[in-house]
Amino acid sequence: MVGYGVTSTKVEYIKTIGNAAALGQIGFRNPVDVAPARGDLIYVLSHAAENNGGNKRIAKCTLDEEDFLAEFGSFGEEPGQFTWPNSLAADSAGNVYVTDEWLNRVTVFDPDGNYLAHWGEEGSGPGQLNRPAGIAFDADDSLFLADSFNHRIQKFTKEGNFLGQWGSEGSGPGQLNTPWGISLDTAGMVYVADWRNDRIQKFAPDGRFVFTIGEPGAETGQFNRPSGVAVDRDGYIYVCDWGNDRVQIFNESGEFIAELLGDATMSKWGAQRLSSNPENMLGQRDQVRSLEPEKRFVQPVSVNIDREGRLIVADSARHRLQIYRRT
Amino acid sequence: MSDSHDLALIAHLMRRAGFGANRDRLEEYAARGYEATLSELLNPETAPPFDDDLAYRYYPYFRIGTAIPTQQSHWMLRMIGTPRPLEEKMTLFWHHLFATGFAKVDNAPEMHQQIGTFRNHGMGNFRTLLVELSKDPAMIFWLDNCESHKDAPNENYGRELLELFSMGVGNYTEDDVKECARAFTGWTIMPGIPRYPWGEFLREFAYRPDDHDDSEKTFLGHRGRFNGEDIIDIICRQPATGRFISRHLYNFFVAEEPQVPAWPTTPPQDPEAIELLSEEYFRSNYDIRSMLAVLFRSDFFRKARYTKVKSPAELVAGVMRLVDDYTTPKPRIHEISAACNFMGQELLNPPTVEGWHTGREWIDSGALVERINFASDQVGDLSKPGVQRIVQRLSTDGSALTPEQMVDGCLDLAGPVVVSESRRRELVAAVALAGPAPCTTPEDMDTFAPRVARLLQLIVSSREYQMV
Repeated sequence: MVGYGVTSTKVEYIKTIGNAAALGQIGFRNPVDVAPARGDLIYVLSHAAENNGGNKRIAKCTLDEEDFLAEFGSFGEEPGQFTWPNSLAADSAGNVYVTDEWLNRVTVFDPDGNYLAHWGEEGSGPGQLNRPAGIAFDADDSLFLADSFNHRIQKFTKEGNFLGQWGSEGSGPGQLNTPWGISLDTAGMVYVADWRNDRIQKFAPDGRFVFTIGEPGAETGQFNRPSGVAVDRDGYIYVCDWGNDRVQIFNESGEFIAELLGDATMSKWGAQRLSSNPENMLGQRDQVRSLEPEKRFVQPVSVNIDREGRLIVADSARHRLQIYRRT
Repeated sequence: MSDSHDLALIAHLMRRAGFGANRDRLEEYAARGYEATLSELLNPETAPPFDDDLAYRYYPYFRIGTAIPTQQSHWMLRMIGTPRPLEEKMTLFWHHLFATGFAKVDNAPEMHQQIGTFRNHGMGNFRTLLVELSKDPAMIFWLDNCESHKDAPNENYGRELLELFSMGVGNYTEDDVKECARAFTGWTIMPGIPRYPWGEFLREFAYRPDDHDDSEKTFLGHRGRFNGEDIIDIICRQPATGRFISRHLYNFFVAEEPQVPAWPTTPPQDPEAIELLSEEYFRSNYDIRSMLAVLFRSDFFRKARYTKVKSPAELVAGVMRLVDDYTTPKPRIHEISAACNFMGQELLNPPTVEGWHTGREWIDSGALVERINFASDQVGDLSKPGVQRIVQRLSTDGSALTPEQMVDGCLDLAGPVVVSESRRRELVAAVALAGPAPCTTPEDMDTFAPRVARLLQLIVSSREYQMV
């Protein structure tokens, strides 16, 4: 199946994983980021609502068999808890790092979800944080972080030692306005979802500005508050166009290739849920004139590429992941 | 000071036409004057819109929240932080008038969508608003118009459209209700995608000609093969409609009228005001903004200070604007919006289609305790920016304040709040128990700031603060 709306490139929709689930149920609640780890293991961060804070958590599951292995983390301010979890990434050892925009810290869990440490303090000085958002590791396990309210990118060791920074508030080349997602390509170049500026910026690892993609708007090649970015091994750039409810794809020069609007099909866990009450749940679906709206992304927040090159879209407001592959 | 720059008058305007404003903002408005401030309120499109991008970023569950607290939180965040206060106040006004309840609708995004319709059309043409209301999926389900068919009309929506939404009891007959219901057959909604496993989907309005009764009808003395919009045209032309909407505006913005069911038998307390507003309704071709302009420029509005009991939404949003908290996203907004529920106003879930009984009926022993505790907790919290600014302004000249100066200063900066002389004496006596209040040294401030906070707690616990 070719992804909906794809015009010229070959992007194959694979499947959907998820289910709008409360704590203790199999699924996610407003997933905002995914960290691919070893094999087909993925960690999925559920932002969820504070009025049901138990739903804020990280799910550990597999992408191929969709085995739901564990959940960890919870709502709060104690070590190992988070309040406004934004993004997560796994280092080379498989440890999981989570940013918290309210507590201004990065929390570290081991691959089994045991709390290891947290670091970070509020402020605007070097190494300090003000609403840390996207994070990504380079090949040396250095951590790049979008320090959103300081409108800059900071680089840390994975222990939280400050290594460098670039960026300032503004809309000029290299400047940033409330950045969100961040990603590195195989050459170590850094891509930033410059959220309030409605653009993606590409930087060298030392922060040197390379180019910009996009401008405000809803046409192809334009963005409405892009929140996530990922680059595959061939240099194709995937952008979560959050406010336009779509994903856009660009070549390595930043030229528009295609857009995805969502192709969701019933997930394994969703089907299990429907089968628990077939008369009601399946019966209601039979009365609907069209299930097309069910396929669409609603407020997709992040895009990530796993080790096999599969694109994982966190379709946040629909509590699921949509999986694609460029062929 | 000229009337147009009267800070107390502008504070009155901001309480009624919005949800209040802190002192810094009031002084900005006063410097510009009453007319310029009113013009800004009446033309919300001249102010920036509420920053929903930021809200959706930090509260991703606002977009499609299945549970009603998420949508209540979103709306409360808007009431607190909106740069367009009158637009949001009118949204609340129409929610009072076109009361629709989540308890039956059971689709939180549809409730959110309806509130958006009130926001988009609430200061525009009343006919347009009624047409949009008649197509609103939440309303159609709430009043069973999706169960109204060509051969079996359901009168629920037709009845309430006349009784509660436009004309009021006594201005139409039972036959008019039946004919109205027939005209709205075929105005329905399509079955929605069920909420499992991906969350809520909006149902869509659909007009089904095959299920519409296209035969001739007689409605309010007119004959024709009326459809829903024809009915709305006739409704909008009725003198009773002009009076009914005018009385609602007067009741919401000026002074408390009896509860709506008593209106057919109880004349308005100010018939001239109702007549003035009603004239503007027809002169402006049913333009709500024009009616509001007349209302807020009237003497009867200017004189009507502290004559109404604040609704819970007004109290909660007003307190938060005073203490300057949640004006931008912050965790636990649901605890702020839930305070309204505890005070008896569960936004998006009114008790019946008649809405809430307002005015003094907001107050019972339980609700009063909730109101006082909420306001007191907020103004007693010295971490709140608005409280810190009051402390800072009171201590500006560094000299010790007498109890009288402290009370007058706090009353002024917290409103201005106008209290009776006996209340003022009580407040002064309470402050005097701790003696003069020096505020020169850092050590002084360690005791001065908590004393200010305690005084503010007494002020917001007063009868006067519960009024708007």
